[in-house]
Amino acid sequence: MKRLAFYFDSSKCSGCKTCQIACKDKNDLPLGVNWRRVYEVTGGDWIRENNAWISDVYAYNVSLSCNHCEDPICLNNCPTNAITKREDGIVQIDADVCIGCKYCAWVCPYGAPQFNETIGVMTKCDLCADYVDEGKNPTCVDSCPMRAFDFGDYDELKEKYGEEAHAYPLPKPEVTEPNILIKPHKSAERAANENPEVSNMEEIKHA
Amino acid sequence: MHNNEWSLIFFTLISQLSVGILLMFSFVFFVNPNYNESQIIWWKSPELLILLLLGFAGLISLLHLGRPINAPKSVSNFAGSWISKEILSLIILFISIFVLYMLRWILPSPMWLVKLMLIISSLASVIFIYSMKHIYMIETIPSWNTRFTPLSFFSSVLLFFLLALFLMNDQGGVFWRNIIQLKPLIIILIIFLMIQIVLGVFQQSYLSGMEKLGIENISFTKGMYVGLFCIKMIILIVSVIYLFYLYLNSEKMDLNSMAIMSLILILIFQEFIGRFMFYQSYFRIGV
Amino acid sequence: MERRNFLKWGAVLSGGAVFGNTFLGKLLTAKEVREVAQSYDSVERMVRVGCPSHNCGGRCLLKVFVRDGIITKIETDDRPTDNLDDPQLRACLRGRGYRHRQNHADRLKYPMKRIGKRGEGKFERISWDEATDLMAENLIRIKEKYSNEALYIPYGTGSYSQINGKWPADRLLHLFGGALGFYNSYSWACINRATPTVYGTRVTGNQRQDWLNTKYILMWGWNPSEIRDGTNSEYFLQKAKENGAKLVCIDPRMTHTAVSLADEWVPIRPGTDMAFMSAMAYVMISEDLYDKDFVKTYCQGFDSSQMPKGFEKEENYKDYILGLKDNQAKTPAWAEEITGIPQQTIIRISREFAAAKPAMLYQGYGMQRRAYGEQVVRGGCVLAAITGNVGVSGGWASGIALQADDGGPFWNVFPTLKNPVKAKIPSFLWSEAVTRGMELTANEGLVNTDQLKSNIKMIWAVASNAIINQHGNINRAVEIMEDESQVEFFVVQDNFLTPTGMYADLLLPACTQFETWGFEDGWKYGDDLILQPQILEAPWETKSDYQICADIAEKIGLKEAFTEGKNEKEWVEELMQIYRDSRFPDLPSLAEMEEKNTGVYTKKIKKPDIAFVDFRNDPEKYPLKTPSGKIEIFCEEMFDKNNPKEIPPIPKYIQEWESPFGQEAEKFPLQVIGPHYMPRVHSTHDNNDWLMEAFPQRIFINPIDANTRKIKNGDKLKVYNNRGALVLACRITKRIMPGVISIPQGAWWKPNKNGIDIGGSVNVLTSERWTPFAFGNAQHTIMAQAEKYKEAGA
Repeated sequence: MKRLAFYFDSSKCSGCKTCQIACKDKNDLPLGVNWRRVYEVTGGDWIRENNAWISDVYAYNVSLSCNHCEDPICLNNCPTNAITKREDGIVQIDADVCIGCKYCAWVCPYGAPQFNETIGVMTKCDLCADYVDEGKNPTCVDSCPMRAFDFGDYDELKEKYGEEAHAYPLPKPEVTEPNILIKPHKSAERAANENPEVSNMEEIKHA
Repeated sequence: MHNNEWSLIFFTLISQLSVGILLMFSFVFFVNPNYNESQIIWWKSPELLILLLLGFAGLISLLHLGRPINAPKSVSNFAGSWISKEILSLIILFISIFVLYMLRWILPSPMWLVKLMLIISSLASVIFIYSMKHIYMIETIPSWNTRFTPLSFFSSVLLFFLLALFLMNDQGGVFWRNIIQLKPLIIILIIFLMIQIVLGVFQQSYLSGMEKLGIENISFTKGMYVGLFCIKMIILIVSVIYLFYLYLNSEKMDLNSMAIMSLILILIFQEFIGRFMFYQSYFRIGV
Repeated sequence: MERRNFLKWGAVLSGGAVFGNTFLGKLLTAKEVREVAQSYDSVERMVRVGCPSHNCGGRCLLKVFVRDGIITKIETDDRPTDNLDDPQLRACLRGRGYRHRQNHADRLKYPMKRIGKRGEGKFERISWDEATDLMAENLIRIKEKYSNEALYIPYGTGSYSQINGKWPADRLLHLFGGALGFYNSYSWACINRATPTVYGTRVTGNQRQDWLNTKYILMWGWNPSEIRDGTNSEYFLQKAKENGAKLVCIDPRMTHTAVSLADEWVPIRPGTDMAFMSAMAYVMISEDLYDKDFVKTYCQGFDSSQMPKGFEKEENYKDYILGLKDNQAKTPAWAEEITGIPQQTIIRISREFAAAKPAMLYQGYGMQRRAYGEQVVRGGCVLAAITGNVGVSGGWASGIALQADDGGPFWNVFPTLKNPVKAKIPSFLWSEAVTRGMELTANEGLVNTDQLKSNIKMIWAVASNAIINQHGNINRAVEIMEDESQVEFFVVQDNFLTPTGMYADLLLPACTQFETWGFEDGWKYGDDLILQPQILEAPWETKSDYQICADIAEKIGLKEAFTEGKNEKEWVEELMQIYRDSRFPDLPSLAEMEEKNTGVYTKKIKKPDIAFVDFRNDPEKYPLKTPSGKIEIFCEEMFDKNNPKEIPPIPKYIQEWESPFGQEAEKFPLQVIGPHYMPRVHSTHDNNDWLMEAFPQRIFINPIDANTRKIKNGDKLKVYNNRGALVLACRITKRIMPGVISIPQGAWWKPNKNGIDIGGSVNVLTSERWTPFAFGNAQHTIMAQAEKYKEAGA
């Protein structure tokens, strides 16, 4: 069967968050629940030279939802077996079974499971399973004004774009084998060496 | 750092308290099976006390859930999830203590069966704590996935064990007669607390080395976290000093004095601080 | 369930819940959602509709899903081919998140009349009959007492489609004898006025598909990824990059565009762009890199050999650049001091730009919305000219760049009719026309009359927040509007009670674009026409701007003349014919578009038009509409203003009246800019919780400036100058130059009891002072100080 995956071109992402809002609209998400999140990485420095400023500041964005991993750490650790993986790879949380213990949120290195206070259970990106079943793309993929996304079978995407599954600040792909291929921004390697902050963390962890 | 996980702080500490009391009771029972419980009112039925504590802990842990009504489903993944294993072992522990209660207080039963049940319960309690600590041994959470976590959890059990022993005094004729015979226990307690101080320092220095790992520039060397660490260390050091004093002046001390009670309370308080710091130190790789 | 109640619950549904986030609110929402959803199991329909036309620069296509009175989901253009001659018109987060604006509980629902003082925000509900009576009474009274020139509909683009917004109001007043008019805008006063001084026209832009042919783009203060400067501009820029173009962003901030498109970011001090441009010219002149032949054939004013007759002794461009008359050569070293850009970078960029053939210097509008903004506009055009990038594919003449060959979209096709009142003021100077209208002269930009017959006595703000929130110097605007003897009647027609609305005497509730008919064509670019069919009924007692005007027209006896017997849909049909008769001969009929639910008509561009290509081929036969027929570096019109310090006839760097180099910098050392912000369209969407969660309003400050002030990320700062103060949380970011802070414009002003704004509206700091030649708003020219805010005492 297919192994569904995202392709994300970080070098094209402007950080506009259209993908985040498109997802919120489709799934009617409340404040504080973002199935898709955009992380802004900024690093570098400003150096003063007489009256001039020299900047080697760099910045880029990474848009993440859920990577529907091959070895999902959320699924492995969920006490109620609320998380299951479909044949096509989609990892889903069954809201009727979930107890809202938030353990999956603790362990997922991508921040995918999000606790929805209104219903008291964990929720996350479902790869727009209803659209996928109709042969369409997830809504975030088709929403991007910069055309930074692609979607499909992992191996086909790998052939089309080459393989890069890691870009700072994501963890090493060996941990959960995420189904995402990323084309890194030109500054990603520098970020990997310098460990800069994610500068917009307040937008992701709801205040 | 986030997670003010009050219900889990209480759940883990009260669970460890229960296990500590259980192990203390087992220890006392095996060392001196003829001790007379009846004279100490609160010690009437240790099993009921432990069951009460475990039940209370369990209920508190439900507060942590978003949908507690589904709680029974939480044992479903006993093959893969340590939470399921923990809940399962808690249930087994609960049942075995209940059986123990039945054997000792309701049904007539031979001593060997009681002793067997006691051993089973004690083992179950250890497995329970083992499962509990394993929940936190996640490869994506480097601040928890260390040797310090099981050390901390079992140390709590040991501390409660020792403190419970400390309190296992009588108004006459039970275990310890007066404080002089507590001297070995005091030495053990001093050594234990000194090990806690050393471990605490090692853990703090280990965590401080994590500043470069994060995307959020987490810091274990500034603000509330290091403040709490200092308070915890101060409490431990003061306790060690007081215990030395107690050891050297044991003839004059009254076992039920305010000072002793305060010592016990403050040691329990630093356990709270420690557990609070544990949850505060949550830090996950990735984003 | 009665429709109105249903819609009320619709508001509860979508997050603008009446009880908010309380337990009761959640309970109500959850229960009502379920009940409501169960009581309607009718079919969901999908309508393709243009995203409601705000003034973002995007004209995008939405797929809106509706189930009986509620929009359930919004998707975007999904036409199967997404390619160069017809790319999908994908909406951004502002379109995708529209439900949380559409269903907001704070929507204005009924006409309201002020009780209490202006600004207190106390209103009582009245009927439409009363409201239209009030309108009619005041219109008639003020017209009779003061003349039509006392009536004014200010600049406002909150609704910027073809039928609604201020156009119908203009039409009505024009039928009523007219009203004081305005020219230019808050967006591009300087670039609009100054571009023709160089090129004799505003149509200076090649069509976007031509960008693929360029080798180098200086994106000067241009941020299409964030503002959406025409849907898909960023797409075409990507394609240009794929074709090998190098993109350089020149901007005080590392913008969304700089991150996603630029190969290099050159940080520059705000307001010093003209210094950089002059130094570029210096490098090109001293290193012989400019296109000598082009200058000789097509330009005027470059050196003494091509000055106009009678002006031979005046300072020409080369004189200025080499410092022959003012003893200051505009060297890279000189520019480094002013701009903060290292001279090596200035030299390198100049060489790269001159060597790349062809190259584009694209001017954004931020840098002309400042003191002496006219200069930088002309400066950019001149650089484009002297490098020979005019009239060639892959080049760009710079300036306002309306699209070749016929100027781009129709900004207004709805017939507003001729205004019987000829007098016009610059759009930014309405506050002068209120306080001292009759004293205004040509020196304040008054045109078509020597003296106004009256100060402005009535303001009818339609879809405009530019009286209070978006105008320069809010505290001053507030003082003016509080005085009921000046503006005697203030009407605000809007979807929400904005800060401008707080000062109204009468509030008229307009419905949203989804609730009425309309259509839109492109924004600056665009060979599209996007239909906006009505998909919902106007809720509560809201009406379309058109309908409100028709109702008022009836009270003043102008209904027939105003409506011509047509409703909104009939107008749409009629106006579409204008397109059919001119730009889009294949435009399908309204009925066909409705039936097929296509939503958009696109004219595919295979061969993009190039501006000035005829002029380039044959300047004798196709001269420019300038006095000399050529590209005018020296402008006689500006010379005749006789104000060389502020209106020099050749483009010059002039130190701003509030700058880091003036005395004011001692007290107010930080430059403040108020750029457009991703989650908003000016002040629209400031109350959209989804969007504000994604991009909260913050003061963006560099870590160096933060450290000297002992500020940590997230701290509340007080930013203040002589005109006002605001308090807001900060975001420390390296993506802005030290010495500059950014407070994105459009946040709603919220004064606390001490008069300090806690909403974060940058206009408490901006000035009402206008630019000398174009009479434009200089709203980015601000100096201020920032400090950590201490709670007790302000």
